[in-house]
Amino acid sequence: MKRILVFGVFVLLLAGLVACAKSPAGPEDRVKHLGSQVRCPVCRGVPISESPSTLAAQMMDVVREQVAAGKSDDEVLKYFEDRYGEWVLLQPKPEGMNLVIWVLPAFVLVGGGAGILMQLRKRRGQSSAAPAKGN
Amino acid sequence: MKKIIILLAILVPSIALLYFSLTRDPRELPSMLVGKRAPAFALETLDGKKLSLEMAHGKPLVLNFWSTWCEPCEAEYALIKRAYEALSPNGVVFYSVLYEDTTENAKAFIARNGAAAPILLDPGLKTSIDYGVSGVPETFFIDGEGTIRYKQSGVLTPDILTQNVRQIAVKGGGSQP
Repeated sequence: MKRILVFGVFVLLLAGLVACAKSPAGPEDRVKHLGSQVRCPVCRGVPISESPSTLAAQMMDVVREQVAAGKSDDEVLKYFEDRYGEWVLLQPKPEGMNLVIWVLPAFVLVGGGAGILMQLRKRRGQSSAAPAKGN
Repeated sequence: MKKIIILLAILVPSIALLYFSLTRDPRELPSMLVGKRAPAFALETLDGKKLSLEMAHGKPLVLNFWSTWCEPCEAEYALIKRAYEALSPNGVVFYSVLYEDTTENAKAFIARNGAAAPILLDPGLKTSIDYGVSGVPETFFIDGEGTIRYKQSGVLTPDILTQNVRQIAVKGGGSQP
């Protein structure tokens, strides 16, 4: 049980480190970071920061203007959500039914890790018990 | 057997969910803007005049986003032209916003098909993005108080046009068409 808890804490720390490493630095980094969270409406699952379409390029300009105007990340994302709906956000907001999407991967990861550990422990127990029976 | 059942219990809903999400057209989702105040705009027409949402205040407004390169828009243009000619004397305002297109193309299109509602230019697609447009044709029906009452994604039919013009004419300004 102790090992499972240590494993869970390790996974959470790792996720935190990855999130910190991704934090944007300058305004253009922030624009790209925000653009990577907005779905291109005329593509399939591609963020506006990566789409070659004219609409996506113009949407990136809107993000740029709003960042320059001092809007917060939430305000910029809300602008697009208010117009195109929540599907325009590549990362659904962690609320309501969306919570399942956010919680499920961590649950599967911790649960899967715990399952593997338990299987390993079981096998180790069996292999150490087998020679004793033979002797 | 137990393992196969577990595997199927995971795989079948996952594939069904994937199929459902990949086959849904976002343009068919109801617009977030319906029931809300229409975003303000002030755009230049093909002949350099400035037209704005404010100028249509108190009158029902049919705001159509279209392009000359969009085939369905060409078919729709004939309907909008007829509606414009019949309804604008009754106070219904029609604006056609040119989406991802050039002034030259629009002028050539008008020379071929005849002039109808004023054509507004949208540099940088600012107004199109403000209205959440993701393709053409798309049409917004805005009442005299400036509230969006309906959004049509795709080609208008005479029934959709008549029904929604009637609705916005009742809800704010304009005589009954």
